[in-house]
Formats: sequence, C-alpha cells, structure tokens
Amino acid sequence: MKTSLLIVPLALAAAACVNQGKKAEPTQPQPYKFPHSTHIEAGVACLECHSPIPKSTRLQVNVIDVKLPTKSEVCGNCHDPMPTYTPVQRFEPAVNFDHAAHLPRVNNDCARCHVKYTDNGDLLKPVPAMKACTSCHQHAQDFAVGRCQPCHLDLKRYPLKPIAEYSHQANFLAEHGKWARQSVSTCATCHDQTMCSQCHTATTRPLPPSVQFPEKVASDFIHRGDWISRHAMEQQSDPASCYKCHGAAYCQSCHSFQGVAPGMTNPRDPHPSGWVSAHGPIARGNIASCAACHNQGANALCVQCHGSGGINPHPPGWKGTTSQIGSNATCRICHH
Amino acid sequence: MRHRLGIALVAAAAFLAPAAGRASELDVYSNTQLNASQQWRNGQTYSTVPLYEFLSLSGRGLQIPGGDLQLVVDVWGGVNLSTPPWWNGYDNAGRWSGDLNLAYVQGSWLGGDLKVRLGRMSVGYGNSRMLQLDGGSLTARIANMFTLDAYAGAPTTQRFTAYGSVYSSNPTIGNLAVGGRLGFAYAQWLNVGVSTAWAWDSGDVTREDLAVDLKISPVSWMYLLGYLDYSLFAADYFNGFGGQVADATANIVFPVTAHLQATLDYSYNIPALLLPYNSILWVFSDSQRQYLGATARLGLEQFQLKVPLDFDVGYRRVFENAIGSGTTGGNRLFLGAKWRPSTAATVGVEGAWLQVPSGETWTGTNSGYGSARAYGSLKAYGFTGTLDLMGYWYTQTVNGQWSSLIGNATLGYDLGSGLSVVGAVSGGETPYFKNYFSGLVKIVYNQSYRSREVY
Repeated sequence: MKTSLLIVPLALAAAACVNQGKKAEPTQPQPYKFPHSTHIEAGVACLECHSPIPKSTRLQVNVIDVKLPTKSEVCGNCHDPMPTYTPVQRFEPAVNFDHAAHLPRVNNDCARCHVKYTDNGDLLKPVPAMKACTSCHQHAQDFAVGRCQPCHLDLKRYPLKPIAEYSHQANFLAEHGKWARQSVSTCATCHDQTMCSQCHTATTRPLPPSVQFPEKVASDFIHRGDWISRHAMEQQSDPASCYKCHGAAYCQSCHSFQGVAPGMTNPRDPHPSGWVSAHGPIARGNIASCAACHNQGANALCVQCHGSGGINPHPPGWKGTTSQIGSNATCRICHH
Repeated sequence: MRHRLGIALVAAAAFLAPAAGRASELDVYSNTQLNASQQWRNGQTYSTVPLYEFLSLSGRGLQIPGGDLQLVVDVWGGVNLSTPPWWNGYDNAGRWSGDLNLAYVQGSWLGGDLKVRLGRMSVGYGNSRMLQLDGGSLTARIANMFTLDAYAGAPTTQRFTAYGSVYSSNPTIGNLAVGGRLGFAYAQWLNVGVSTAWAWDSGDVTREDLAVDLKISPVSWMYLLGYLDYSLFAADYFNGFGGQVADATANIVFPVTAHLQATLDYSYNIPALLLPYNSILWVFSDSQRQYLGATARLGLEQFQLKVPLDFDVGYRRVFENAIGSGTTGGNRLFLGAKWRPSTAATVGVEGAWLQVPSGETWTGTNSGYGSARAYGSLKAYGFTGTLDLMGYWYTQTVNGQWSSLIGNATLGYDLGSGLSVVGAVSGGETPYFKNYFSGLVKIVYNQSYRSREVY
C-alpha cells in the first residue's frame, strides 16, 4: 500500500509520456512572413487584421487573434488580387493579459505597448517589455511582497534573483507562511516545491539547509550556526514553532541517539534535583518540552503517577466527562 | 524498509527518464557532498563522514490531453564512511540510507484553473501547516474569485516506516489526513478563506481543526493579515474560547517599496494543541503564548542614495501564561545590516538577543543568549569565496560553557555548464567541543533544459 502511493502517480506520468511519444516531433521554428512594418507605414490599422483583439480577455497558447479581412478596401488599395496568407499562430503567453480591458484605456493605440513587430524572417515574436506595464501599474509594491500574480503565469523559466537583490519584506523567513496559506499558487509562480523542500521536509531530510549550503551566507536559513547549543532556549521561547515542522519523534530520535533521553544505559539526566516536586507547573507551562524525550502513548511515564486514581493531571477548565472515555483511546490509557 | 525504498527509487527513475526527455522544461539539480564532522554523544566525540547525493528533477510543460503535466522528484541518499551520524528516524545503525522528499505528478487543465497533484508533496494552504503528505491534492479556481484546495492522504513518514504511529517524525501523525481551503478573492484587496484539517491514527483523532484566514489590502502599501485556527477537538475538553484556539495571528504589513517595509504582528497559540491529539501529554497542559512585535527594513536607496545598504530590525515581546508562574515575559531582538558594494560582493553584520520567559527558567535551563555574526562573499574570476563568523554568549552556562564561537569559510569555482565545486571548512569552540572542526567538499550540477514547440 505504501509503495503504491508512489507508484500510482508515477505510472500515470509514464502513461502521459507514452501518449506524448505518439505525437510528432517538434518542428524547427519557422520564420514569420508578414511584413508588419510595411503595413503600419501604409497606415493600416492593427485592428483591420487583429479584429478579435478588442474582445479578447485572455492570451491563449498559439492564438494571436488574427482574422484577415475577406473583402477590404484597405487591402485592395495595394493588393490586387488579394493575397492568400495563413498567419503563423505561434505564441506562448507568459502573462495574463486582458486586451479588451486595456484597449479603451489607451484609445485603441496598440503602439503604446507594442513598439516592435515581427517582420519577414523573424523567428521570435517581440512582446512588449515589462516597462509597458509598469508605466501605469505600480510595481515596486508588488515586487516588495512578491505579488506576481495575476499578471505573471509562470516565472520558473527565469533564474531566481540572488537573495541579496530581492526582498519580499522584512523578516520574510518568519512571516512567509502567513502569506503562503492564502496564496500558495502565487509562491508557485516562481518556486517549485523543490525549493520549499530544502527546509519543509524535516521529516525526511538528513541535513538542515545551513549545513548543506554553507556558501549561501546571505540567505535567511533557519537553525544556522551552533543550533544544538541554543535549541532548548529557542524551544522554550516558542515551543509551537518547533511542532509546526517536527513531530515529537524527531526530537526523541536524536535525544535517544545522543544519550540524553530516559532509559539510556548512560543517561545524562537533564532534570535537576528536586525535579519530582517541581515538575508540575513547568510541565504545564511547556509540555512540548516533555514531549521531546518522553513517550506520549500508552507507555508514557506520566501515567505511572497520574493514571486514574492517582494525581489528577487535568488543568482548571477541563470539561471532559466520563461519557467521552469510551470514544477516546487516549482517555482510556489512564481511565480503564 | 530498504526493499520498499529501493522499489520506489527504481520506479521513480524508470518512469521519470522518458518523461523528462520530452518535457518542455527540465530543471536538474544534483549535489554530491562529502561531509566530515564531529558529533558528541554520551560524553564522547565521534567523527562522522557521510557521503550524500541530493537530486532534484522538475519537469514542466509536458503536454497531455487538455492540459499539461509537471513532474517533481526530490530525493537524497547517503552512505556512512565512518561512525554513523544521526539520521532522522529510529533506524540509525545502517551504513546506507536515503529518502524521498518529494515525488509527485501534477496535471493542469483549463488554463491552470484546475490542478491535480498525486504523490509525495507538501501542502501549504489554509491550516495544513505545510503538511508533508503521500496522497493527492486538488486546486480549482472558479470565475477568478473562488478557489477550492483539498488534499487527502497519509502524512509522510521517514523511510516509509511509521505510518500511523508515534514513531513518525511528521508533526501530523496518522495514516489518514484530509483537509482543504475554500477561498474568495476580490481583485487585489481581499482574500478570505475557511480551511479545515483532520487526521486520524488508526481511527483515533490526531487533528481536528477549523480555521479562517483573511487578507485585506485597502491601499497598495498596506496589508492586514489575520488567521485563527480553532481546535474542534479541544472544544470537547476545555472550557473557554481561549483554550480552544490552537494558533492565531494578526499582522499589519507596510510593503511601501523593496527598500522600505514594516510589519506589526501579534500571535497567540497553545503549544499543547500543536501536539497530536492522541498524545497523552496535551491533557496536562495549561499554557498560552502571546507574541507582540514589529519588524522594519530600511534601505538607503529609498532616499535615492546610490548606496546599496539595507538595515533590518525586529523585536518581539513574548508573554507566557501558565499555572504556577502566572504571566511572564521574554524578549527577542534582531538587528542586521547588509551592504552590496557590487553585484559580486555582499557584506553583512547581524546581532540578536533572546530572553526566555522567566516562567521557563527553572534550574537546568538557560535564560537566553546574545549573538553576533559577520559574513561576506566575493565573486571573482569564476571563484566565489565566503567567510562567516558567529558568536553566541549565554546568560547561563550550557554544558558548563558561556559561549560558542564558530567560523566558516568556503571557496567555490564555477566550472561552467552548470557545474561547480565547493569546499568548506568550519571550526571553533562550542559548549560541546573544545576544538570543533568540520569540512565538506561538494560537486553541484544545476542546469535547466528547455525544449519548446513554440517560439
């Protein structure tokens, strides 16, 4: 069952690849043949040929919104007979763009954005530079918060800027989750999950990013430096933050390996003398610290004293009732 | 375990190879790394020399009927050449180990409005807490206003060994987790959502949360962010609304420009409610944490000064409320400055101070530390060198020591064609090592392949 969790999606991927293999091999890009410059100099309006554009609300793959006029005085002024021409529909949009919404704002002046055109022999289709957008749309704030959508479809094709040149906001390492929970698709505009996984696969990963990438000194890596010596202090300051990435078994595994967990042959007991009488308030204040070493299941050390009939461990405000015991296995650890 | 992992890796390699060749874009990242370091266990020092291979493959734009496909694999393997290091998981005795961090396929249809993902992935939306999951996820965007995200599967465990047991290192324990988020967004200024997260371990509830989130941007230079995660499970056992809120945050963010930003933040959480609900320990807890703070970044370029110097500052006040100690406070302060004299050089300094809430400082624990760091990097003639110096000074001793001093130096060379080599040495004196030394050498390959039918 567990292996199938992985194999099933990969099999689907393989099926898609087989399907892909049946398609014709990609052809070499063909040069554009239409002389835009000649027509523009002759005063032909863009919309004479690009007549679908005013109603176009979305750029589409391999659609350049051309509909040549069948009878046109404009064409007939120069062409007799009318030429037969099939435009090359070759286009991959990199942004979301609504021509229908923008054209009225520029008085149907396409040249406000389209300053270059394809001509005979061109292989690439020149698209408006980003400054055409930012001449009206403020981009500094979008850049500051990494708000690339809804304009950019996918920025993964471009190399990421060095971390020193790009800042989402102050303290982004600590704050980025608050943005991501609402708009993780925005993160995905630039980042694959492979980037997230450098930190967010603590369950499976063998090294923290600062050990794997010591050369990235300007990156805001979590757990940089002598983390071992100070991790207990960080845990005491913000225990919840540990448990958003690490299960208790993660801590227990290392503490056992290092010989600081209970039950080791040579335990270095971290508890001070008098601990038994002092531990109650401390445990209530930071129970997550206890979980770093102590079993949380039926073999929990606490049960030996706090089991049913022992010292009541429930805090004030506890409203659990005996009727809930039957449906909660955790209750039954103590309440037989 | 190894048998199953081997099958998974072979399957990934066999299926990905033909897929990758036909992808419109394929990003390959390989990091072969030999580490040599010291570990301190049971009062003794051990030398560990693991050899790692980290491999990431990301293929995009593979055409399928009605849409396109993305393939992502992120995997590592390691072999001990000396004493075993600690590797996450309970079976640390072996010479060989490895795991899958990610392995998923994602189909995208309707211009990206419908996405389905299957495999091992991370789920970050709503109150999922960046759950690492073996299963499926779906994202649907409806009328550019509504979004529906949903997931189902088993929380990932290390080495495929511990689904549904307390030996999983995943913070969400169980053999089934489901959840999702329903969101509504209007233009750029409003995004609100309701999310839920449920998990079961052999039928016992380990998560049962409902959350709301909100983002409002009344003006382009200000955001209001809010989030509240409510534990439906705790509602059955604790009186009072405050005892049932596992996690809540409120932020005001001013992203005026990339060189002038500020945030105000407030957080509230009950740490015990982030433990799995089948843990016996959470029934003991009665503590809450509140955090109030602010951060700011100021770059001199904000004032049209052609000096690429940025300053960061952040402060957080911690309030711990627990029986026996009442409300106690702590502090966290961060200061930093980063100067980029050229595109090839960066110099930075940082300082931090942490004071743990006094309710935590029983005998045997430490009440905080101060730290300082200076670093720099320089690229020249294909080489990149870095130097990183860090010092920590503790307010009480750690293992009998008052401080920790570490220095790192790295030197890398760009061989071209996406290949580079990096060497690093680290040394110093820490509470656990009188003379600490470690080193690594790695070969990195990072290349993108593009094969397009358009353009």
